[in-house]
Amino acid sequence: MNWKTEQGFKELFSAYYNPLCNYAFSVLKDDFYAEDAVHDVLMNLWSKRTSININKEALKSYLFTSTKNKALQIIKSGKTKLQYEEVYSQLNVLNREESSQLEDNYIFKEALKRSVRQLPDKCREIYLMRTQNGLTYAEIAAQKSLSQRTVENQMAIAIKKLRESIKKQLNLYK
Amino acid sequence: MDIQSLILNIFGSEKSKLELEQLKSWKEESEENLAAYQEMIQIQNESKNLDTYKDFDVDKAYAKFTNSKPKSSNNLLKLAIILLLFALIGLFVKNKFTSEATTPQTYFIADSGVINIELQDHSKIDLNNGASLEQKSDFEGNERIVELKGEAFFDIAKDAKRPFKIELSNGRSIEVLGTSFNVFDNGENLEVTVYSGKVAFNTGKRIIVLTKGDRVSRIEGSFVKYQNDDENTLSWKSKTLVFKDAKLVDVFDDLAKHYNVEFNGIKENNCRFTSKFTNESIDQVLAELTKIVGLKFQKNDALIQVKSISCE
Repeated sequence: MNWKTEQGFKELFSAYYNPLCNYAFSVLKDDFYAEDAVHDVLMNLWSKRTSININKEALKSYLFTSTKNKALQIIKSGKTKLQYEEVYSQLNVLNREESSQLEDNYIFKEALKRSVRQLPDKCREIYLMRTQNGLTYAEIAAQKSLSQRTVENQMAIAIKKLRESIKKQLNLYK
Repeated sequence: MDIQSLILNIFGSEKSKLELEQLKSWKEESEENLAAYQEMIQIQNESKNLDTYKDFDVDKAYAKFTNSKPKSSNNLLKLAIILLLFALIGLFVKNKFTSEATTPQTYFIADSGVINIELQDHSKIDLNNGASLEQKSDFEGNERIVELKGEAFFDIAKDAKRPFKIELSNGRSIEVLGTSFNVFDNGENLEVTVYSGKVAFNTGKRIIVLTKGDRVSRIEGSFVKYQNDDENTLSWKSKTLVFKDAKLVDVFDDLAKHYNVEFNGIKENNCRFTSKFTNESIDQVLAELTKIVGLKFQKNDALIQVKSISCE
C-alpha cells in the first residue's frame, strides 16, 4: 500500500502511532508531549509527501529518528523539566545497528500486544498467568479448576497463534 | 521432540536436566529450529513486561490528524467542479466575459513545489512546498485576512486603510500595513523575519513589533526578538544556500530544512564550513562536506546517518 495516498497513510498512521508514542514517551516521560511529538512527525511526513523520497525500509528509521529529534526539540524549548544536554548524550550513544534494533523492539512489542489481544479469552488468561504472573502450569490448573493437560494445551495453542499473528503484524512494516 | 512439548518446555517454569539437553539438541538441529527458538524466547521475554508498553488512543489521534491536516485534494477537486460549473453557466448565458467570470480563488496549497500567488490587492505571496494559505475576508471591507499553515514569504501591497492580517497556529497572528517578510510556522516552531517595513507580531499574549532585519522565534519556550544573521532564511525561494564560517550544527539545520531530510548521530564538534550552493542536490552538498570537513555518512533516502566528522 502506497503511504502517499489517504488510505495508505491511514494504515501507516495506525501501524506506527503507538510504537512511536511509546518511544517518545521513553524520552519525554510525559504522555501529552509524547503524543504531541508523534502527531507533529506524522503531520510533517504527510505534508512533505509530494517532495519526499523514501523507501519502505528507510521509512521506519526515518520516523523513529524524526520522533527522537522532535522530542529533543520539545526538551530544548523548556516545556519539560528534563535537561537537554543529559537526554541528548544518553540518546546518542547508540550506533546505527543498535538504533535499528531498538526500533525493531518497539515494533515487536506492538505486534505482540496486538496479537495477545486477539487471543481467545481463556487462552489469553492462561498465557498471561504463566508469562506475566509467573505461575506454573500446575498452579494455573489449580486456580482455574482445570486439568494440567488442558492448561498445557491452551498454552501451546496460545504460542502457535501468537507466532502466526506476530508474523502477519510485522509484515505491515515491510 | 514434537512442537507442543517443545513450546511447553521453553515456556515452562522449571526445566529438568533432560529437558534442557533435549532443547539444546533440537536447537542445534537446523538454522530453522534456532530461529524458531529465538523467536519464542523473544515472545517470552517481551511478554513479561508487556504492561509497561502503553496503549495510546490511535483513533482519537487519527481524528485529530484528519481535522488539522491541510485540506486534501478532494476539496480541491470540489473547488474545481464548482469553478467548472461557474464556467458552464457563464457559457450558457453567452456572457462575452466568460473567461474572466470565475470567482477569485481563496484557497491555495503548494503540494508539489513552491507556488507564487498574487492576491486581488496585488500583495505577492510565495508559498513554500507543503504550505497552504486561505483567504478569510473578501478584501473589499476594512480588513485583509489570510490564514497560513507552513512557510511563506509575503510582499504586502501598501494600503493604510486596510491592515493585512495573517492568522497563524495557536491563536498567534501578524498584522502589517505594507512590508515584506518571511513566516515559518509548523505549529511547533514559529519564525518571522522582516525584510522591509514594520510588522506587529501577536504571540496570543503580547505584541512584538519588528522592523527590517529583525527576527522573532521561540527560544526556551518564549518568543525572543533578535537581529537575523541567518542568510538561508529564504533559501527555499532563492534555491541558494550560503555558509560563511558557519558552525556545522547550523549547517545541518539549514540542510535538513532546505532538503527535507533528517540527520542522525551528529556529535559535538568545532568544525566550521564556508561554501555556496545554487540549485544543487543534497548529494552534491554532502559530497562537498565530505571533501571539506571529512564527513562520513550513510544516506538512506531522506535519512542521513552521520558516522564521523574530521576537520583540522
